[in-house]
Amino acid sequence: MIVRVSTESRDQRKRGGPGGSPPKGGPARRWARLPIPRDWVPALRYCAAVYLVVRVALFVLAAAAWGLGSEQPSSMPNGQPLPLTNGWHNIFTDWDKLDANWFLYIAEHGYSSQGGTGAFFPGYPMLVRAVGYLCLGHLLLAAYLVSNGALLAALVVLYRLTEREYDQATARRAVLYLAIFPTAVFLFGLYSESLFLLTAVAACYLARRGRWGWAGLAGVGAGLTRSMGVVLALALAVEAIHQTIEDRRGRAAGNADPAGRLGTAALRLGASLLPLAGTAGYLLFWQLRYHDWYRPISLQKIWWQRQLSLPWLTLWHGLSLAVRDGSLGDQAWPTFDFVLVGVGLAVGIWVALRARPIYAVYTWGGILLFLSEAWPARPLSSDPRFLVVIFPLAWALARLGRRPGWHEGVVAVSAASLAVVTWLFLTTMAVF
Amino acid sequence: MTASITASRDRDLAAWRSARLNDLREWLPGLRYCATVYLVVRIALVVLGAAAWGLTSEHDSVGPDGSVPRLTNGWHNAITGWDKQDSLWFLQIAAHGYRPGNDSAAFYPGYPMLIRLVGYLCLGHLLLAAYLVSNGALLAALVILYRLTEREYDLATARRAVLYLAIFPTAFFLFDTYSEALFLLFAVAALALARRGHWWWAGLAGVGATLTRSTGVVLVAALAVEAVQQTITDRRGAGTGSGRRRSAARAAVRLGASVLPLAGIGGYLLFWQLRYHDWYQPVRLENSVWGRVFWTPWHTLWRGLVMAWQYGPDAGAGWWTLDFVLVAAGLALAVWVAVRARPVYAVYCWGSIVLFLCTAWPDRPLMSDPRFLVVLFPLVWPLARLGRRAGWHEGIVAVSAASMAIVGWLFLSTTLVF
Repeated sequence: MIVRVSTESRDQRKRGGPGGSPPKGGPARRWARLPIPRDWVPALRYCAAVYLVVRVALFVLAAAAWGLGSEQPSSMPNGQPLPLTNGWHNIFTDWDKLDANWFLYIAEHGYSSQGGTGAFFPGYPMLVRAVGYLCLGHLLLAAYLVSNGALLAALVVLYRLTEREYDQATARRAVLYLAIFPTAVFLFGLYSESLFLLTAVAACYLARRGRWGWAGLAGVGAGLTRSMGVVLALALAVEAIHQTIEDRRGRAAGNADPAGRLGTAALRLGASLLPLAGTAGYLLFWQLRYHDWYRPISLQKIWWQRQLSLPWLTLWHGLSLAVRDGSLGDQAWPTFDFVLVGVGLAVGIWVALRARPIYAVYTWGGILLFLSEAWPARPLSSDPRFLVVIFPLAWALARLGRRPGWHEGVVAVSAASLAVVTWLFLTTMAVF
Repeated sequence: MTASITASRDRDLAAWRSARLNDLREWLPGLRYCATVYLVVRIALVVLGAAAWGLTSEHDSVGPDGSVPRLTNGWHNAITGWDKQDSLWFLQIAAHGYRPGNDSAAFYPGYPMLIRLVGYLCLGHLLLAAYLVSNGALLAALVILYRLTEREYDLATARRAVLYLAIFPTAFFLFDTYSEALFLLFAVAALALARRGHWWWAGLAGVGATLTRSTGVVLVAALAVEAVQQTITDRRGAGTGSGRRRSAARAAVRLGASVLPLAGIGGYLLFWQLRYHDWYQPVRLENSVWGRVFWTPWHTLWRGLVMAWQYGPDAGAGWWTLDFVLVAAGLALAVWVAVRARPVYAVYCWGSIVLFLCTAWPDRPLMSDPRFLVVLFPLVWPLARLGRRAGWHEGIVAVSAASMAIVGWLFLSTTLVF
């Protein structure tokens, strides 16, 4: 990604930049040798540190879960149970379960008209396969490289975006809170969430900087990675309109060319629709290859028993089950789902009220999309995972974290929740 | 004349009141901060109790009489889910007292005695009384730790120290119906009082500590070391003659007060001698019932390490590794205390560590030791000092809170964390 050096960053170079001037022979000098714009270095350094600490902690947790829990073998896409064996390798291989199995299966064997592979969008498995060639066919390693590389990049872009929208302190907190979000385990695991997060946050960042062509391309990546990419198209469209209105207000006093303004607006709106090309391209692949473009959508019902539902009905049903089963031993999964989704919704209200419309639309579009499909037996299942890619939620917490004592509270509660959710993901088959 | 005496008395009384009010005001920020930290962690642990009940199939804990208390569905599990293992013993002793044949002697009387007393005020609801005693003691201990840390270091370190202790990986034992919180209160109070020169009060707090847990005897050594250090400091500034004689008298008082905690443990053994003619029973039970044997500390550690490595990668057999990792982290912190803290704290930490490493269960040598670490409050100081550096504070909070959540979860959902 090419990033134009802004006037601000040129000034920062003159005075040593936000990270300070690099001393000779120091670590900053080593960073300076990397082909990274200098104003990205503090973000990269901070995000890499946060990423590494959480990454190591999660590997340790996997070792603990293997040693102290009683894990159940995950079922592979071909119906066979994934064999479990004793050994320290479980630190890495333990994460290969549930959807991760599907992604690795698709990366290895491709799609099939039989089975449920069509429900998994191709962005992540495609990249796993591509990186797998560089890893001499070791797909698990490739899957880690893709998802974790995407996560690190997403954190860096989020840092820069937050810095632009708020300030540096909020950016640092937002990155930290996202990395220890209760369901952040899916960003570090072999799931497609981190790749989607990268494409989504990059699309928003590029759109905010006025790089609409690149934003649209990032959106195509999002559309190829998860079905939620369609929401990104809507969010970008809102931003396109917002920028056009801002332009009109800004140039009202001047003598700007109305035709030029209209052209720019059309360009933005055109770029904002690009993410749909990702989703459409995938459906086209199914049509051309298997003559069934609807298969990826129909599988949600056929294979995963997800049914269309009104968002408020999904929530109400989720709440009813949460209250009914909450106090029953080993049966409180609906409560677990509801509590996490409830917190996400509460934080989402802040985004709707206080954040720029593009983020409010992305947040609520994403939430409404996943609430529109529900598995009747457990209406909010998977929804806590879907929340983790809705990055503006971290801003609400990051703003709250400015108050004395709240920062520690958010860190402690979030890290503890992440630990428990990860534990449940590793030791049960009920967190997906 | 009478009027002037009365006026003078009034002035003295007003001055005394003003001084006490000032004292209270000094404690207020500490109390406010500690109460907030306590409340947040307390609520989080109740939620964890509910989650562990709802999301796992909990194992029944065997009661002191061999019965298995029936687990029932309901929100009450958020609170009662924590009432297991040693908690059951303390409640049994509070309800029925000691019996020579039921192995209860291994549990020191301070905590169950207080539960029984507070139980009268709670109309006989002993579980409520147990929570009131342990949680009240914990809150008081946190406030005293805050003040002590402020004295030894500074305000920022005090705030971090309190927070880190409240989310220490095994801190849920402090919030639970175990005797750790009460012991912590007595221990931190004894050392804080000794540091302020209130030696008799320090000795009395030490008596409370030894009535609560056997490791209270380490306080004798710690207080004695502090007594010697204060005397040396006095002598340096005393000059010659009467100053030195006064210094010697004060040293005798301090040393006398520092051995007071032995009265607590002596009293408990005396009770067993007078009541059941067997003063050795509380000591013997550690071996005969709990299977603990005397090993040298390094042998216990070595065996712990060997078993941790041997069983670590096996499914469901990582308990040795859990023990070792937590104890090793505690030992690393204790090295800092030995090198950088005042001798009284170094002696308290290392005396306790050596004591619990000397009694090991051969099948799981470091079992329970992670719990014993949580009362060694000076261990949070190295973390609190480290937390000054940018980014480290967040790291410590996140790792510690996550560890406590997992260890707490294991306590709630298995019967293998003691």
